[in-house]
Amino acid sequence: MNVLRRRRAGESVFGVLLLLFSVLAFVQAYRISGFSSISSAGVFPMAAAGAMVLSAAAVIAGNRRMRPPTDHGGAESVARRFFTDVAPPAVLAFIALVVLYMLTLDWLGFVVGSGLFLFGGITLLHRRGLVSGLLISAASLAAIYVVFRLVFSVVLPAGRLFQ
Amino acid sequence: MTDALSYFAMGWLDPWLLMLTAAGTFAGIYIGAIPGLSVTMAVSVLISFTFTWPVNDALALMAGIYMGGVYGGSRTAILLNIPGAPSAIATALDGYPLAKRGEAGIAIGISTVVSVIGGFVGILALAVAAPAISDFALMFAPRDYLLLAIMGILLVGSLSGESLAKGVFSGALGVLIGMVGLDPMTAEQRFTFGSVNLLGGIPYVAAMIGFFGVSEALVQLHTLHMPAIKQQVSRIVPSWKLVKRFLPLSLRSSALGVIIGALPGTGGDIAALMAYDQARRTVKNPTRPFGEGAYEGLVAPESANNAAVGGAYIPMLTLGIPGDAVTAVIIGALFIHGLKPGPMLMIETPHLFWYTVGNLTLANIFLLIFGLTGIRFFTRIVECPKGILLPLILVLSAVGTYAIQNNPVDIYWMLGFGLFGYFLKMYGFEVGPVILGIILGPLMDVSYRRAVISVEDSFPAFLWDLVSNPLTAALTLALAALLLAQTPVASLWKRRR
Repeated sequence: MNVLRRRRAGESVFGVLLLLFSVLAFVQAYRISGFSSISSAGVFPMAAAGAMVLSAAAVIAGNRRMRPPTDHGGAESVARRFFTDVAPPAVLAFIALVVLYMLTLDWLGFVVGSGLFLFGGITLLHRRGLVSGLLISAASLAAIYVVFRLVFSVVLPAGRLFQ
Repeated sequence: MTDALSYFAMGWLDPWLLMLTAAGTFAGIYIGAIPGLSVTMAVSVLISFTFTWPVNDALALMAGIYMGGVYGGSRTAILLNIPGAPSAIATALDGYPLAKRGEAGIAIGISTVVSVIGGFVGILALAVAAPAISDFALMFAPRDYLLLAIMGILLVGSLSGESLAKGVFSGALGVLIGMVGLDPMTAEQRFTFGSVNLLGGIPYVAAMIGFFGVSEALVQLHTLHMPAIKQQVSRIVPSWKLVKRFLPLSLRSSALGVIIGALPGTGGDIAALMAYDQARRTVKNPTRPFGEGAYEGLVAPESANNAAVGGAYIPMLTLGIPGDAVTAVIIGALFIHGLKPGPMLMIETPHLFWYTVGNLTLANIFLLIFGLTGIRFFTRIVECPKGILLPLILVLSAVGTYAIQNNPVDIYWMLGFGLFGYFLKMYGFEVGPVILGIILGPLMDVSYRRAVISVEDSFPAFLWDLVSNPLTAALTLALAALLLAQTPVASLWKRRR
């Protein structure tokens, strides 16, 4: 007999969010041209969104058959499990750094933005001290700049702050 | 014939192209070997830098990365029991037990040689079959393209994911993303919400880098502090006697790899697993029991996954349908270079086809050279801490996305797809079908509507077309069988047997 795996913390909520997103997508697809003709511009988007709605519903049904994320149940222990297994603090901190980097890259420019991100990221993940983080990030930044900007002539963000 | 030969040799005679193929193969081996850095990630991040290059340069680099990346995964599968790429999952089953017995060197040597053999079989199949299939594909009606594309998405979704529902969701999501923008037939706006920025659609390279680069890097954060296990590697080059012994199995597995690779939606990972299973069932007297260090368990998947590379190029170049996620990314790159893969590509630009065949052959030769040398350097690279590697990948992802159109909005798209892809992966969804959906969605949409318009918008006539023409009927039957195989009916039938 197959033993179903344990549901991951937050998996049920994620399934419901996917279903909601799919339903919204279907409504938007319907608005393109409705059911006016079987060769209209909205037919295929509706078919894709319809497939998403059905499969998201099947995913939710599958989730319900799985064993719960924790033996004790309770929203609090599931939330704790979510921040241990799916989005632990270290991952969340790094994601925050990535979001900050990508949102400010156009403003700070490649050299400053990537330099700060590499220093922050390497210091956070590699954990060998500030000096080591600074040296590794500087060397990496120089290597990327030489290879992509100077050798391959790739256009890098100049940064609006310094223009 | 002379023309074909001169196109074939183009990449061999130009030192710059030769260097690019070598660099791509080298980078592919090492990227493929680093657990978590997949060949799809490498190709999607690196191609964004090649958009301003001449098409020949970009193709040379991509062929090398693809060939090298598929092979590279075997190294860590043997040495650390961690497949560097999905195509090396089956390799670890017998490769790691061999390393534990102190035979890591020979295992790496054998896997290199059979990978090269598999690679040549795949290239040979591509050179022979593609022109014939291309001629045949001219007979394909829009409905046939529609069926092939649906099959491609379903195959990749059902074979590589946790469940069919998750595979279908990922594929449909990709199709939906591919629909954003102006309708190519009527110029109606679809999912644009009145934004001018969305009229041209969502940049699919941003989606590729987001789903394969950013999300994979974020998932890797969960295994950041996994200790590296060091193995002693002695002699690598295998004896001729050993190679001769495994040659028949290697050729058999390569043939299987080509067929699996050529099916739309299935790539090296499925080919390797099927070849391993086939070897386990057919090899009567393995060197050791399978799972305990049988060389046969190494030879079969390694031959098959590299043979699948040539196989995957067949539907890509002849039909414009990607064989797997990597070829989906390569198709995206070809579009940006102004090329349209499909039967007409072989007729209008035959030089490109023979040039690709020449490049893959060259990459395969470099694979042999780099595979049998530099093992000490290799172990150093693989030991590079993820704490350094992951921030670097994210910088390359951001810069690569920006380089496409010099538009910061693309970076925001990439970030959004990366974060969404992270949660999809954490909850057991595959992102490969999303990319296939993005590439195949517009093709499916246009094919479906052309097919329906050709029967004057009559749905019953469209359905009749699906079963009345022999070629279409065969494809419909294959699609029905594929769907049926995923239902409880199929498992019930199997149990009864």
